[in-house]
This record gives sequence, C-alpha cells and structure tokens, in this order.
Amino acid sequence: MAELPQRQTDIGPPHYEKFLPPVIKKNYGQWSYHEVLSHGHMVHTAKSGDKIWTVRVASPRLLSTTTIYEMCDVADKYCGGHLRFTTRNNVEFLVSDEKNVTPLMEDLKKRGFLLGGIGDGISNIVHTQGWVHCHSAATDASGLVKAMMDEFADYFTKTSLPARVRIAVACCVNMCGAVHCSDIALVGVHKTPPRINAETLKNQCEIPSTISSCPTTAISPDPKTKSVKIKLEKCMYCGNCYSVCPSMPIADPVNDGIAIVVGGKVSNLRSNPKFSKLAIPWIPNNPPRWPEVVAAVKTIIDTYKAGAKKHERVGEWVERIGWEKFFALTGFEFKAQHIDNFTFARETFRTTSSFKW
Amino acid sequence: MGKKYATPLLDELKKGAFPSFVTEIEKAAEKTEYARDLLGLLEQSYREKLTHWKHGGIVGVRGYGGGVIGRYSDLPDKYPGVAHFHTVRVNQPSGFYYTTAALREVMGIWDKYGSGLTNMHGSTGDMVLLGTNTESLEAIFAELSSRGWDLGGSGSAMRTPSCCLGKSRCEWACIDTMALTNEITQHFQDEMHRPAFPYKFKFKVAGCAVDCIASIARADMSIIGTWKGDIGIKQDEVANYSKTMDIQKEIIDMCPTGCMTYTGGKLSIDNSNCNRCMHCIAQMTKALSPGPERGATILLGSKAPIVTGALMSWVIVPFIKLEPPYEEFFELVGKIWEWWDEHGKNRERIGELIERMGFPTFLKGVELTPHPAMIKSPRRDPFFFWDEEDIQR
Amino acid sequence: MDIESIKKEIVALIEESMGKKKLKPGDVFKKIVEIHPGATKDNAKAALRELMDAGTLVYSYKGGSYVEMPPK
Repeated sequence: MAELPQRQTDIGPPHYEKFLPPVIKKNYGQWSYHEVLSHGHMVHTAKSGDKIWTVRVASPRLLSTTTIYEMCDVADKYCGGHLRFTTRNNVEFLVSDEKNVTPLMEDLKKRGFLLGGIGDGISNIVHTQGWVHCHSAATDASGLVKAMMDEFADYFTKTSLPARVRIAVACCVNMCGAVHCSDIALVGVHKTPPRINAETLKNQCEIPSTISSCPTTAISPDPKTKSVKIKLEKCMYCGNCYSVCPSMPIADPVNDGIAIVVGGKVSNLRSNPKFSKLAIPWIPNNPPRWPEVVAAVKTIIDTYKAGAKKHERVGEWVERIGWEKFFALTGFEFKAQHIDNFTFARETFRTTSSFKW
Repeated sequence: MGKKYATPLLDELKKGAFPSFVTEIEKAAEKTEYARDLLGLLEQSYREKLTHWKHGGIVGVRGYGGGVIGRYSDLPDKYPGVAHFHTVRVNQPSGFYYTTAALREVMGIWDKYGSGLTNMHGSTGDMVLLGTNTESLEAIFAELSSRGWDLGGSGSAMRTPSCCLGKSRCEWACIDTMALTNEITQHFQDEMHRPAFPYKFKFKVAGCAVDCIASIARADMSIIGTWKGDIGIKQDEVANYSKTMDIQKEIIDMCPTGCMTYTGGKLSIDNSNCNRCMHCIAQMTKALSPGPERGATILLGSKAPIVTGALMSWVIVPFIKLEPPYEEFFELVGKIWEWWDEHGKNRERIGELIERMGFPTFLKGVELTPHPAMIKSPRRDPFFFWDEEDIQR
Repeated sequence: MDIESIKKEIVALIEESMGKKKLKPGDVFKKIVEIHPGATKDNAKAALRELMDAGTLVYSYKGGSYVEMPPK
C-alpha cells in the first residue's frame, strides 16, 4: 500500500462556515420569513431582501457513493456546489438564483429523484440499521420504510394532512432514533425469552454485568453451570442481556414481530411533547413488504385524516377524542398488552368515571 | 460486474415510488465485493427473518476508544466480502451543510477503502461510512484526518453533538445552534474520543421550541432556544394572513394558554401568560417573531426505553444566555459530568441516575437552584428530606 | 508526578483484571488515585492516553467501553 498521509487526532469536524452558500453566510441570523411553495420547495427571505430557494428530495438514507456523486453533479450545476441534509435524512439543494429553481426541479425529476417532504404531510421516515448492519435487529428497518413510503408517497410529494405526521422505525427496543416520541412508530419486538448458551457464556460474558443488565431482575447466577438462569415469568424480552452478553441470543424468527406506537411528538407547538403509546402490540414480521404493517399504518393515517382538526397532530387528536375512541375508530383490538405493568404503569390508569362509550 | 446472488425478495423492494435502498446497494455492488456480498447476506436475512450480524469487538483506530463500530457477519465463509463490515463514524459539520468538493473528497476515500455505502446520516448525526475491514481502518483515518475530518463518538463517551440548522436559514432560531454545537464538539474532543463516562452522553441543540432535531427525546442534554419579552407583531401582515386563514379558529382558539385575542382586525398577546409554544409564530411567520431577549432552556435526561422505560428531558436551567465563550454553560456541563462520574453505575445514563438519587440531590450536587419551571407539579406525597441546618438541635 | 510509574500501575491493573472483572476507564482512574500516591484523575487520564496511543492497551466495547490488553 502506498504511503499514508500523516494522521491527526482531536481536530474535530471541519468548521461549518466553510460549507455555507455565500447568501447564507451573508444573511446568517438575519432571516425574516419563509414561504412553502410546494411539498418539494420553499423560499426563505432575509431582512436584506436576499432569498434562498430550497428544493428537497427523498433519500433512503442508505446511499451509495454513486448516488452521492450524482447529487454533487446536480448541486454543481444549479447550486454553486452547495447542498445539505436534513435531520430526517432528506437532501436539500440550495439555490440562490431564482432562474435555476425550475430547471433544477425538472432535472431532479428526470433523474428519478422524488421531490417532497416539506409542510403538512409525511416526511422521510427516521430509522435504524436493521438487518443491513445490526446484531440486535428484530426486523429490518430499511425495508419497512421503503414499503411504507411507497404506500404514502403522495403524502410526501403533494397531498396534505391536518399536520405533519412524523413516522419512525426502530428495528429493536434499543431504539437508535427518536422513535418513542413520533406520531407513528414501528418497533421490532421479541415475544420469547433469550436462550442461554451455558458453554460459551462462561468465557464470553461477565456474570455480574449480565445479571445487572436485566430491568426485571429475571436473571440470576446458576452455580451448577457457572452460567446464569432466567426466571421466565419475569422476562419482558427487552434483549438488554443480549447487548452485554452474546451468549444469550433472543432473536426468534417465528415470534419476533412489530409493535406500532402512536401519538408522540417532540415539538412544543400547542401541546407539550408526548411519548408515543401502544396501538398494536404485535404484527407478524412479513418481509419483503410487510403488508399487514402497512395496512395498519394506513388505517391510523386514514382515521386521523378523517377526524383531526387542522394543525392537530396525531397525539393531539387522540387525546381530544380519547384512547377508547381511538380503538373504536381504528378497529384495533384492545388487549392486555396495552395496559402498562412496567415502570410508569400507575400514571396510565384511568382515575375518573368519565370516558366515552 | 454482475450480481453474485439471486435476490428475489430484495428485488421486490426495488419497485415503488420511493427511492430504494436495495438499488443503492446494487449501485455499490458495481464497485465493491462488500456490497455484492451484503446483498447475498441481506437476502438470506429476508428469507430467514433473522439478522446475520454479530456483536462488535475490539476494533478502532490507535488511541481512540470510539468512532468505529466493529461488525462481523456470522456467515463469513458463505459471504467473505462482509466477514468484516465495520462502520466508521465521521463527525458531520454542524447543520449538515456540505460543498460538493468536500463530499467528493470523503466519498473518494471511502471508494478506495470501503463498501461504497453510507448513511447520510446516522441517528446521532455522524456521516456514517458503512462497511470496511479491520486492516483499512488506520488508512481511512489517516486519509480523513489529514484532510481535516475527524471521527465521531461511540461507546461510553460524549457522542457527536448535533443540531438543527438554526440561524443559517431559519427565522425562528433563538440561539446560534451551529456555532454552539461546533464549540461543544471542539471543547470536548478528549471526552468524545476517549470514553471515560459511565455510559453515553448526547447533546442536541434546537434553535426553538419546534425542536426539529428532536433534542427533547434523544439527548442527555437538550438545549432548546427560547426568549423573554414580547412576541413581535406586524399588524399589516396579520391583516394579510386574515385573507387566507381563519385567525380566530387556527390561531386564537389553538393557543394553549388563551393569551391571544383578535378583535377589530387587531391581534393582541398577553405575553405574561404566553408559554412560548411557537404555534402562532409557526403559522404566521411573516407577522409574528420571537421576543427580543434570546437564550435557551437546558433540559436533561432523555433516552430510549432500555432499561426501565423511555425518558424525555426535563428542565434544569429555565433560561441561559448562550453566547461565546459559553463559560457558564461549560462550567455547568463540567459539574454535571463530575456528579455523574462520582455516582453513576456502569451503563447508567444521567437521567436514570437522577431518578435513582433524586432530582433535589442532583440540583444540590451541581449547585442549581430549584425553580417551579423544573416541574409539572409539586410532589403529592408527604415524604421529603431535610438538611441538617433545617433541624433545631 | 512520575507518569511512567502510573502507566506501569495501570498496565498491572489491567493485566490483573483480564478474564475477571472488566474495568472501565473510570474504574481505572478511581483505582489508581486510590492506590498510587500522588496520582490524580487528570494524570491517570494522561497516562492512560499515552498507553492507548502506544497500543499497549486498547479500548473494547461490550454494551459499554472497557480497557483491555490488546488481543494476542
């Protein structure tokens, strides 16, 4: 291998200023307002009168260098070599010359990019690695996202909903994304306890940290095998023991599935940020297109669209109508699994006699 | 180079309107054995409904304890191209802005040493280079760092801070999120690259209460821009909005505190009762703007459900001016980390530690004064502690 | 403060711990401050950094970060 350049440590990321388009550098902190022109583009106006147009396209987040080079070609042609990514992994092309906006949008369409993601619709789905790259994935993430966004593409490109609907996918309960505060989130879940490989556990794992990893104290030492044992009735299948001890695999292709939680938000707009709550505890893992999951999410979106007031997020709509009504309207079966018996349980019990029939 | 494996299940995911990750892997498979074998391995996962990745191990670049996630396939003989498939986290520039020259530079390095696959970006914010072998890691690091790029955080360390785009393109930003994020990242390089905390610690900086970076849900320390003083009103622009919007229904009736009125074509706000939720400003951005004294609220503790349930961050500093050199802020972070270091158990996040030790104990430990903005309501039980000085002996 | 003697102590500590209880960097600092006269968290940190830079010790990850001898 050829000689390598001199490495440096502790230099941190390049300073962002190097990457800002000139109009942004000039008007930094001096923006006055913005206007959404379509689901695919918007314009920001500065106090100076300068404008910057943003054209947004979808990304699967998992991008090849080939596609990134193509995005660079487009940005070189219309954007003076400037582009950015959003916190939901969309790609934004930044245009300071209005006459480039339409040609840019046409070119992007011609190349097969999907314009959208701005305003009150469904923007890109935040998601985790899944079977593409993760050892603890109970399901795939990219495939679920693709199956859902194909179904809901119109809400990305042109059709509005009462408010933004933020969807997220986590391939296991570790939730490497903001899944627990999303309008709708899918979570890969297990239904069966981990299996102990006593032979390898001795060498691979530390018994004290394996025991302390369990939130329900279901794991205890097993002196006979110099390993651990699990009190099965206490295990809630979280898989945290597997995170610290590879000898306790929990993946179970027959019983792993997908839970759907709804009604979370992170913004403070109108109502306080909310956690997402359980709508469906388990749907079978059915790759490659998860039709049962897509259908359930569609039911939630259709019901929300029909019932919510303008600007009302999914969680605000559910709280206004009540959870009993949510189950009635969606037709989702209410089960024992919906009733909390974990850390925050007592806060969730209904302590009033008023509710809806 | 053609396909190595038949992938009938993955092929189903090339259909449809939304861009396909399978197509992306196939594009990379034109160039690399990593991506070719990833397609085979992933197809097998789709067939068996089972992941084929193992736990990470000891892998990284010399001197750093983070930035590389070790990943090995459990089928190395069948898919040798992904026997090693390590991730390199590259610290993104604040706000995720790039020039094409900068992106081409990083992608060029990645094409030389890796799979040609990326995540733009990972959940924490890093540019994620997905899939390389152990032997290439030092070379990738030398190529990146010599050109001004550094790795992000992983393990029990400060994780790569990230932010919304703030003042660069948003009229609502009450703090300079990008400057602060860059400053935090540079200030704590050692804490990021050499994991020495009980567990991970994430910073996310949002310019306003809309929180586009989801800081309140997924940062151990959430910094959210806000203001004091009166919301700016341009009545002529209010009049313009009244032509396209039912102001009474969409703004006044939806205000959570009922602090707004709209009579005779004039919008009034009782600012002393406003809780700064941003709904009216977000809907009438030409007419309304955040008040004049800008700063941030600092909240602490959010995390995903592992181990005992998800937490959202809660207020520890109701208002702080956040301007360079951020001395007061860094001092506070130092105190919090010291308290965590002293009391935290292995794999215990700061939020969980505060729950275990008690919020008042934390406040005392880091010398913060209790304030009603820190709670939703006072306690409803009669069980509380007193200090020695509160007792008559 | 003699950083070389702290480095020796850290290596001895990690050698001792291998195959028993894995130590986190924080555990190492606490232990060194306890057993080594004149050691502080800061110079223990500096010593560990030198050992890591030299490759004498390595970081590992098992649901959290630990200090270990490099794999043989």
